[in-house]
Amino acid sequence: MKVLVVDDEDDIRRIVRLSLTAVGRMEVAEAASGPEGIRKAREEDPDVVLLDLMMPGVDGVSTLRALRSDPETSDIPVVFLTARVKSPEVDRLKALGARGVLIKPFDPMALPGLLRGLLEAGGGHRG
Amino acid sequence: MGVRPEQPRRLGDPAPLSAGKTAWCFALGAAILAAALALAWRNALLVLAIGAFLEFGLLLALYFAMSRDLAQRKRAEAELIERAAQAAFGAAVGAALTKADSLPKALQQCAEAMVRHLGAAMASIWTLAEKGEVLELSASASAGRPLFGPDARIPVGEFRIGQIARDRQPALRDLTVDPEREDDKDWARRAGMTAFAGYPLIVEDRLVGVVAMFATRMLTSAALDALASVADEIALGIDRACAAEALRASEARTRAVLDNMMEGLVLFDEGGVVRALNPAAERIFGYGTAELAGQPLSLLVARSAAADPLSRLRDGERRALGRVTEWEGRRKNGEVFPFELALFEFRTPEGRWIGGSVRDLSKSREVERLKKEFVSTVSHELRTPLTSIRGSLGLLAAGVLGNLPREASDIVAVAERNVVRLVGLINDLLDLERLDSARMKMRCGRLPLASVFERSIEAVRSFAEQEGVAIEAEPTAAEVWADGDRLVQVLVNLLSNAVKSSRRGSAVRLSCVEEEDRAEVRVSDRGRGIPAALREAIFERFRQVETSDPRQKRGSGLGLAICKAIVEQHGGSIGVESEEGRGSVFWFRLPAAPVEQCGKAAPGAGMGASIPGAMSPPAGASRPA
Repeated sequence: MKVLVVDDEDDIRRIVRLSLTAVGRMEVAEAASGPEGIRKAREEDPDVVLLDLMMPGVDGVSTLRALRSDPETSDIPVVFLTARVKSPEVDRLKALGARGVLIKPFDPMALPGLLRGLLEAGGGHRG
Repeated sequence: MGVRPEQPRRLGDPAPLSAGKTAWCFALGAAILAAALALAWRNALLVLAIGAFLEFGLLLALYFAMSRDLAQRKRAEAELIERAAQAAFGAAVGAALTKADSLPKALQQCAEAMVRHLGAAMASIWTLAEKGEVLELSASASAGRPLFGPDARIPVGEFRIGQIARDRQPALRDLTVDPEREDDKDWARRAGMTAFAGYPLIVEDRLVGVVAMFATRMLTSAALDALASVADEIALGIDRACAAEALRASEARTRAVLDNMMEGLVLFDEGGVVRALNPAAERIFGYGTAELAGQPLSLLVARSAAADPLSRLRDGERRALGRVTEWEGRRKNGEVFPFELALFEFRTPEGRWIGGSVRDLSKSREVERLKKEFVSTVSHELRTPLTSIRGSLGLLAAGVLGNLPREASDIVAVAERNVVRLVGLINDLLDLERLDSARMKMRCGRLPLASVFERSIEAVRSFAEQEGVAIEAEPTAAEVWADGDRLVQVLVNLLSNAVKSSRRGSAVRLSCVEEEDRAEVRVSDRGRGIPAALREAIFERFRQVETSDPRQKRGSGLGLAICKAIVEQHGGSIGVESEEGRGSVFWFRLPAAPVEQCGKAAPGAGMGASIPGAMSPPAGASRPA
């Protein structure tokens, strides 16, 4: 399973990569910004995009919209990884087409399982 | 009015020549004449003498008659003058009491009129002060040197004036024959005073003062009558002035309060026409009183509500009177702002008026917005570095990056446990902030309690195992109307608290008592229990049971406050029964059917904030290292 991690924070990308590869035995590609994420999504064809919400420039929501509107990437499930935790926000993101929302800070030992759970449930939220 | 005793006819004058004495003079003259006539028969010689005597007698009689007539005329003239003086006195007092622009001036003019028209050598008017215990000199006038200083005071009951006030009886004294006190005699003689008259000033049984005068010549009964009746007028004048003064003082107090209060006050009539507003309301709405008086109330509310603020008011009036409602206001500059309105009604001679107490909410809204922004920013700014720390430590502690030496691994476990606690604290603070501002949306629906039990137990299982405490749940078929995630959050909190306070090897029981329209969930432990004094307080923020057990200090101190807020937002209640040393039962009751407090959306289990058991395990519930 291949995950594209899009986050402007180097440290967080590094920990997510370690968690997903070492604990979850997944393959990881990284992008440090929205535009880079959109490009990598086309190039790498990941099974899921793990997307930060608050990024300078093109933020998570704009990135999601771009991914959805591009036929090449529109089928790739997107899961947000965010420190913004308001319930209305979660609903809004799901309405925009996100598969689910995971919260920062996260337990690196649990993250791969949660991500898998969201993808398997398919319905869009934790199941 | 005051008691009018029988008055002596004159004061300070020896008895005057009376009508009885005049009659005696005439009788004597007639007897002499009769004797002379009788003698004339016997002695003709005496005729001449008799004639002369007769002539003398007639002359004498004529003289007496003439002098009597003169005296009568003089008296009539004097009486006329006196009556005129009394009339002038009455008129002067009347004018003083109705026309003078202040009470002291009116009383001064009254005292001067007593000197001018009643022949008083000294006149004084005293008013009651200091709760009726003292008389203060309000006015005095004298023909010569004044007797009293300007600030003279006499205690009620003392001296001549004070006694009049105490006895509420007039005092009339002839100082030449009847000095009340030894020193009066000397003073009166020295000053040439011969009479004193004093009247209590009484209105409807209330004493308001004393009017008194000294005179150097006699005071006629007519003068005393005049003084007595004027005393009534002065009393009424003082009473009226005191009432007006009290009203003015009361108005001044009210005005000071209205002018200086922080809240705006708008008065309008039943037709919705603004009648008055206080300075605070002027500041809030940006209009001056003159601009707004007579204008329709709709000027002050935003257009959406301005369509018919009156009908809104009327509709809501019954409910709004005495309650606080929220409106959108419009300032003169067009700015729309939120305000709180509390309505009250009162009757005026112009009909029923309504008062609105107005509090501008724009500042507090701004503070609320900034607080929200601050919490959101801080939470985000804290979460980003915490994500790195928590992730790094988690990976290290789990040995993902290779096995650490035992001591290093222990220390990393300490760091990880504490960073988890810090994350929990931030989550709790955010939860409480949102619950406080009612921004945490409850997504309620019919929910089988069994599933909530299952999820909650699953969330605390590893922690309970680590602590060596079993969790036993009674099967239940109960259903509640609740937000599943929030309910799990409450139960996880109560269960992990129960585990923390239990001894290794004991059990925590989870059960449900179904009632007609609600369900009561009970979490029982056999731990230390909670002191009676703390059973209410533990639901407040940052209140924990003092303990020497380090395990107890792991929580944020916010958990139960959050539980209480969540349960209450469901329209339920929460509490604890406990016996020290024997254990505690934490319970919460939830309605089985929908209630107003809870949202009516379908139960959603979205990955919302700090979902219990998923990303934010209860503080202290870290994996064993």
